[in-house]
Amino acid sequence: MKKRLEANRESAAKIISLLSRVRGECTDMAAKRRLRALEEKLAIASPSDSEEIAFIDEELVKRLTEFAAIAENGVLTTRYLDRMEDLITRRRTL
Amino acid sequence: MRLSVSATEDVARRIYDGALGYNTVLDVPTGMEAVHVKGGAVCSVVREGVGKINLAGALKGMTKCRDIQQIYVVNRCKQFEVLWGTGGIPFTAKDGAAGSAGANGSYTFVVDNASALLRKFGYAEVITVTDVKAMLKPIVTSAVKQSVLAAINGGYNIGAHTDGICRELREKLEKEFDGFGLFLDAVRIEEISDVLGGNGSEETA
Repeated sequence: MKKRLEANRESAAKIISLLSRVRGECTDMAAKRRLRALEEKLAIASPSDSEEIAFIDEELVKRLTEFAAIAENGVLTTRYLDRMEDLITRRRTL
Repeated sequence: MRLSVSATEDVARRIYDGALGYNTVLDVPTGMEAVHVKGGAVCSVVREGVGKINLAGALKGMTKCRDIQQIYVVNRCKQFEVLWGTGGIPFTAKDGAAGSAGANGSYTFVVDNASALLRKFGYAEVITVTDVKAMLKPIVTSAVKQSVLAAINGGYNIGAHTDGICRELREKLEKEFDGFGLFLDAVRIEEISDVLGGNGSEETA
């Protein structure tokens, strides 16, 4: 249980770091604000030892990586941001 | 050569200055970024984890490089808070009386672009919150003055209109901060007042 808690905490820290990196590379101000809001949401989330978090985090990393790749080409990234917001909201309830 | 980058509580800090071996490996902790500077320009940025810098490329087999290079660690995740304040904003009330407005509050920011930040601050050895405050003070003061005057000239009771002034301030400052490689998280007004000097210290806010 403690191991899972620690693993989830480390995973959250890595995702926050990835979010800040993607935010830095993003040139659209509205998207930057949303990414920053996601960072803050994740940063203040209470620690949890839920096993579901590993799956959520895996999808979050995947979405973020895709987002970073397509945002450069100016493709509409709103649905990625919406999905990431849903994932982080779900993560906070666990 | 392998370097373990230590985290910093400041905005940015130079952690290495000197000759650097080819294919140096950097170990960067979570929440930090390491910036490799060579010849006065950013060469590469290493995010968390392990990364190689000063690649030998065609000079395979060579380990020593004589160029003097620097490595900076930039804090990407910490939110920094700065207090601001400005007074003596002259204005003329509708009845012609001269007045003076003032406001104080705070703003919070995070680093957005490490390369832009270092460039704007001239690759200083350390960049602290105080340095950022000093650099941005004229910009923040000017934006506050413009926003407060716009509210007064618009006929608003500025004491009750702080949300609107904050919104305008944020719009003005976001782009400016972006130019410095910073992301403006929030701007807050703690106190705001306008005082008419013509009839003594009559408060209108």
